[in-house]
Amino acid sequence: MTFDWAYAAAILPALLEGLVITVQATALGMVVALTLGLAMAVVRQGGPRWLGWSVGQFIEFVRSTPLLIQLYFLFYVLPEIGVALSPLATGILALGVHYAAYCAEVYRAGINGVSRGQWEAAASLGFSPWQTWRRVVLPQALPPVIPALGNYLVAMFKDTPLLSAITVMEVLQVAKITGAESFRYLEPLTLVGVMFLALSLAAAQLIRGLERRFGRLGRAA
Amino acid sequence: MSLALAFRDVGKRFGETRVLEAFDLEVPSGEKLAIIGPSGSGKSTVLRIAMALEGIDTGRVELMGETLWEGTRRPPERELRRLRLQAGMVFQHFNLFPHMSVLENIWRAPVDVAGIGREEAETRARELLSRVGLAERAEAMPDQLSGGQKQRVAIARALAMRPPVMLFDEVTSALDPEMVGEVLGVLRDLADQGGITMLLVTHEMQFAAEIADRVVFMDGGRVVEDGPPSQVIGAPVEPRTRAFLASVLRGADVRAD
Ligand SMILES: Nc1ncnc2c1ncn2[C@@H]1O[C@H](COP(=O)(O)OP(=O)(O)OP(=O)(O)O)[C@@H](O)[C@H]1O
Ligand SMILES: [Mg+2]
Repeated sequence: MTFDWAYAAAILPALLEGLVITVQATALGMVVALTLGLAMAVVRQGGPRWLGWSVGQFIEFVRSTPLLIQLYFLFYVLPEIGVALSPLATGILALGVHYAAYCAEVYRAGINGVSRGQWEAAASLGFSPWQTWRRVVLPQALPPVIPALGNYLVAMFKDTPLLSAITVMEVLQVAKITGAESFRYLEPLTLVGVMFLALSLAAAQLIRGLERRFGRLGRAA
Repeated sequence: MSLALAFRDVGKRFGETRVLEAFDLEVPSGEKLAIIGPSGSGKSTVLRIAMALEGIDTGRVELMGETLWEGTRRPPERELRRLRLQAGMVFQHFNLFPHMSVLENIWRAPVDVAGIGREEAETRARELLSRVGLAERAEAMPDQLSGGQKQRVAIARALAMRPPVMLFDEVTSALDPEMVGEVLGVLRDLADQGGITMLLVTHEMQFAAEIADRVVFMDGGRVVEDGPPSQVIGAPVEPRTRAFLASVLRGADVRAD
């Protein structure tokens, strides 16, 4: 079997359309993961005890079960409780929640890196809890963890093909359908692999840049 | 005379450790009070309770005529914040905000907490900086400063909120010896200027004797001796005070050698 360049060129536009969906799912999933993860980390540290505990259990649960099962769960159970989301939206939600659990742990490490003296200085000046988070703690906690969060962005990107399991027309799903129609899988799957490789390499480059920019841990003065 | 701060029969423990026991202390408005005592005697705890960073277990604490702590009851967050405005604190390890310029360290709380306009707050911050001799370092970041400079900024930051009571917890202990003088100089100016109630936890006996109106010697979570510096530091009555001062002076001799 030889690689058919003409065929590859012919299916490329369809695959690129799938890639756009993949990138979309990753980007939106990451927005969900970053915000929900931060909210969970803050609640764990500063919220009421029972809520912090619940969030901790939830994080543990999410991290201990496979993403694929979480995907199926949301895909089949949400409609039953009256929540009608498109497959793509369901996929974004699942990716977001799954990676939020990991991001929350990363944020937590950053928050723990801010010394108790910073909290006390803020309190002694009369800052409210919200002002303390916004003005004192997060500006110190976030920059050092940006590279680690970037790594999860890449990991999430590589997990998006799982969305094909719930019929999302992301790039792998398009490749499988194309292959099934023409009985040729070499070209579509090779192209998909190359696409992931190229974007992952670009992202890795970005993360190295972030590490150079933010990599040093913030120290207290 | 009105009281700035009053501890009444206060008990405080951390787990099994009793840190304060039947602790009584009254500080009249405007007084400069030095608190001395061995390590672990509870000096920092007294200041941290007054700053509302730490609660108590029994007794009662009043700050500027209002009840701050009463037994284990914790005032609601809002109330606590309002009461905290009556006191300002300077810490041993400065605790400057490392991501803010020196100037922002000083104006941030007046703007966010006291609701003062940014421009006015910056003007006041610059005035405070020149008072502590650092007018030209306004735009510097904290990690570009020496320890002595950081501590002077921390003092300016606390003063910016204009609290009637200022709490200083061993503010020269983390400094290299050659920088102690510049910080003590700022404290001396503040004391001379008057109007502010000052509580200073310090190991600088000479300095305490010079600027304090009154000295309290603490040991084991209680006030053991309480009187003018000429008595408590100059001619202590209590054997424990004598033993402590003797050990401090021995320490000083060793360092001088
Ligand atoms: N957060 C805490 N948890 C447990 N124990 C504490 C805590 N803070 C203080 N202690 C204990 O309380 C006692 C008094 O501490 P405190 O810091 O008030 O002493 P201090 O007189 O300031 O001592 P130093 O001169 O060493 O600063 C010590 O035995 C200390 O170990
Ligand atoms: Mg102490």
